Order: sequence, then C-alpha cells, then structure tokens
Amino acid sequence: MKVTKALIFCTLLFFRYPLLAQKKNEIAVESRFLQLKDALNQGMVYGGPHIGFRYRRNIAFETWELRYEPRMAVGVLFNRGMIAANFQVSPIDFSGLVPVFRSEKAAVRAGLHFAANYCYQLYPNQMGAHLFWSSEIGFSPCAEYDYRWKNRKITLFLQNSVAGFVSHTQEIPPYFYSLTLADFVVQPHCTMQFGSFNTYNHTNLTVSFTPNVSTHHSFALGAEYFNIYAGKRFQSLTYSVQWKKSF
Amino acid sequence: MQENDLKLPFKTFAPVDLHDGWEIATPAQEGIDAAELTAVYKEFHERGDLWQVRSLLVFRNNKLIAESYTKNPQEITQPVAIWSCTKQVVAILAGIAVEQGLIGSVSENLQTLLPEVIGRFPEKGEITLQNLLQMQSGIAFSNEGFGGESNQLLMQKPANSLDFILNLPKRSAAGEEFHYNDGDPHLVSAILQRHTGKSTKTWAEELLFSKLGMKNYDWVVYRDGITPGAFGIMATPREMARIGQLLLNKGLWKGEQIVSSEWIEEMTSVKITAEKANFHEKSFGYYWWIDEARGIVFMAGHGGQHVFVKPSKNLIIVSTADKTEDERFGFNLQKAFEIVDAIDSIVRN
Repeated sequence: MKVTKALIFCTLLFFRYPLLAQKKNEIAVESRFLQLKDALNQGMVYGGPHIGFRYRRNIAFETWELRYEPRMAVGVLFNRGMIAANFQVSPIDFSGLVPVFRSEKAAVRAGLHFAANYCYQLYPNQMGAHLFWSSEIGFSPCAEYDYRWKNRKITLFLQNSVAGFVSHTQEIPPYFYSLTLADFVVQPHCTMQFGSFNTYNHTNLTVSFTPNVSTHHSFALGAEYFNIYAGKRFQSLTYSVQWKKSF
Repeated sequence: MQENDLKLPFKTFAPVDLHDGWEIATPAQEGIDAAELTAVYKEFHERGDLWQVRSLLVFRNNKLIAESYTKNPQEITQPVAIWSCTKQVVAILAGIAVEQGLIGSVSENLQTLLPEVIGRFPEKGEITLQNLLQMQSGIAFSNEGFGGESNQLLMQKPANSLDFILNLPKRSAAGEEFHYNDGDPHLVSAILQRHTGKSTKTWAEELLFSKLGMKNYDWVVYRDGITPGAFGIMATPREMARIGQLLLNKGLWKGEQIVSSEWIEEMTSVKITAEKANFHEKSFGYYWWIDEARGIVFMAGHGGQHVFVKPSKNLIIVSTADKTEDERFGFNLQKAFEIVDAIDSIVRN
C-alpha cells in the first residue's frame, strides 16, 4: 500500500508540469522551392517545387516552453530537363525555449533545438535508382522574437547548428548497388560523423505574421540552408511560404 | 546557388608518357592536322550540350596522338565503368576459347555447353553460342527500367544468376529475332567459366589483359561467382584503346597472335543488319557494332563509353562520359559520331 501511494505521489510529481502546462497544437502546409547542389553529382544544381507539412505540439510551462515539431516535404527537382525526386523528413524535432526578455509588446526567448533530419534524392534520368542522402542529428541554439500590436503578431525564429552527426552519400558504386527500404534507414546512420562548424552548418530563419491573434491563422516565410563540408560537399537552400493554423 | 563548371577548360591534348606501352606521337607525325584537332578538342571541352563527356583520346598507327580529360585528369590512371563495352571483350574471349578447343564451335548449344544447368531448363537447350553472341537467344530478358532483369542483376537480387536468366520465358525461337540484352552475354561468360575451369575474370587476365599490358582495370564479379558478361569491366580509356588496337592489328599484339584474324573478321562482320538491329542505323556482329557507311567498328557502353576503330585509316578514337539513364540527356551515339566525324575528316589517308 505504501508502495502504491509512493508511486502515485511520484507520478503526480513527475507530471505536475505537464498537467499545469498550456498545450497548443499547430499544423502548417508549406509551399517550398528547393535548390540542391551535390559535389558527388559534379556540383550540378537541381531545383524545384516541393510541398511540405508540419505539425507542432507546443507545451508552455510557467517559465519555459517545449516544442515538438515533426515535418516532411516532397517534391521534384530539375536540371537541363532531367528530373529528380526529393524527400525530406524530420521525425524528431524538439525545441526548448526560456524567456530572456519580456515587455508589453515584445518578447524574446532563447533555447536549444535538437533535430534529426533526413533528405533523400533519386535521379532517375541521370543516376538510375541510386539513392542519394544527407542526414543530420544535431543541436542548435535558437532564438525567437515576438512583437505584438493591434492584435497582430510578428515572430522571428532563428536557429543555427553548433554540433551534431552528419552523413552524406560519398560514392556511387560503379555497377552493383542496393535500393531497399532498409537503405533509407541504415545508410544515413552508418556513415555518420560528428562535427561542428568545420563539418556542417544548418541555418533556419522563419518570419511569421499573425494578422489576427484570435483567429489562429498565421503565415510565414522561411529560408533554410544546409551545408555539409565533410567529404563530398552537399548544399541545400530552401525558401518556403507557410500557412499555419493553431488549435 | 551557383552551379560548378561541369568541365575543365581545354589546355592541351598532348599525351603524358606514362611508360605504359603506348608510344606517343604528334598529330603532324601521323598525318593529322594539329590546328584542326585543337579545334575539335576545344569544342569537346566547351560545348554545353556535351556536359557529360569525360575523355577523348585519338590513336593512329599504334601510337597515342591526343588525350584530354574534361572533368578529372586523374582518370588517366583511374579505371571507370565501361558498361557494355564489356560485351565486346567477351566476344574476343569467346573466340580465344573456340580457337583453343575449349569450346567446339559457335554452333554448339547449351545442352553441350552448360549440361549441368540446362537440365532444369530443357526448352533453352537448343540455344547456340552463336545465338548468344548475336543476341538471338530468344530469352525475354529486359534491359529496360527499374524492374527489368538487367537492373535485378545490378542489384544482385537473384542468388543464382544463371537460373534467373534461363528461367525467363522465351519471346521467340532461338536465332529468330535480334533482341539486345544483358542476359545473353552473361550466359557466354558462364560458358567460358564452365569450359576454362576459371572465372572469366581470371581467364581474361591470363589470356588477354596481361598480354595487352593492361594494368589499370578491374572486373566485378556477381555474388554467385560468375563474372558478368554484359557489364562489369572498369578500365581507363588508354586500356580500352588496347582492345581497339588488338582489333586493328587483327588479333596480333607485339608479335603474338592473341586471337586469330579469322575470328576478328568473323566477329566484326555483319550478322544482324542495321534494319534489324534498330540502333542508330548500325549493324551488329558478335557483340561488336558496325557502321558500314563510315567503315567503323566500335565498342559501345551505357552512357557514352566508346572505342571507335577505323581500319582504313588505322585510327582509334576513345571517348568516355558520365552515364545518364536517358539517352536524350547523355553523350549518345549521335553526338559521339559528330566528334568522330570531325576527327576523321582531318586525318589524311
């Protein structure tokens, strides 16, 4: 009986913050334009439209805020009439933010961001069914600035990687190759290397505008740059327009 | 985002002496206009629609005249995949096997050539070596697409490559229809292994590559131990040229008859007319392509790997390129022949 009471006490203690926390959900649809440059593919630049989806679970505690924001995008890329397919997924994406400054109209929060990002390409016209990938499991500091006026809000979010594990396709096998579902999981993980600014850089900047805070709709413009220097250089630059709805 | 230059600017086509057995000469010494050849090489380096090309080499009278690499000068000694140019090598090896009596003749069929295997596929028993060398086995092996049998072999999905090929249905009777595919040469390689007692790779090293002085090459092996006959050789352009030179020398290399002139003649004579071959109006011998109008026989590999041999001018032209899956975007045969014609036109008889 004592054990049961202790378990109940611990459970209540452990979940005290979530029970008191304010929870909010948000979904977003993105229209993206992505450019991708891969040294393994002669430094050719493929570019094309994508559509993306993201979900955000926002848990605001008394003094800090936790976000879980998985996302995915899919699209096509073109170069010289050749087509490529691109798929991006971030199943793990957490941000923890604490207030740094707060006034009646403005607020600044800063914190740490942790994400696992995966990006896959297939170049059917050029490379057949060879799988190209880039992946990142890394930490970034992040900061957010809010400004409100007349029931409107503008938010600026910035993150930049500091350290993590990255992987990128380093060679194309001359003849025999593999393309299985397992390759999508195994390959980006088995060749990862740890590094910081000397290995990769991932910058994400988003400017959101909420025209009427009470309507739960908002719009955002985003720019994201990902660059792996280690081995064959890989770069991607994404511009996005987002429509978001919170509930 | 700025795209990299896909090709290096042209500097010189003067070959470097690697002491690899190739004698080097100037264009003028071998009756080629140097200024005109410079113009061809400049175009090769500068033409935007030739973004895929990697190398262009010209040989005449057993000598290397010109050589340039558009993407990576290291490729002078780094082997690259030559894809279906492997088939033409296999045709030469088949000739050596016949001449050495390891195989009775090209008329022998799979009942005789692969008796251990063919029992499981009796309907394929009447296919002859000649059928295989002419892409006329009638086996419905497809080179096309992700689901095609060729891609299945590249992904090494079948555990037993011979059973995989022989188990396919027939699309026509043996000898009836030309059907370019990777299955037939793979069977030829399996026959060579069965009758030489060695892997085709090892046997080729002993009987062909080492005698030609080839060093910068490799040949991948399928997971069941069979050396693929349709693709699989990695070689530098200079090594590819040795195969062309062997052809030009009618099988003779530094005083040794590696393969008979009769086999060279047979292998490069028209077996399948251009109309039936339906490939850029080119005819077909034993895996070798023939341009009757130009008097050129040539090796052709996926994505623009070529060795053109013009016996009347004692001329060999080798070109390699980055492969593309779609011929529209690649260094296709039409583009390659534009370069060949330009060089041919400045070579004096």
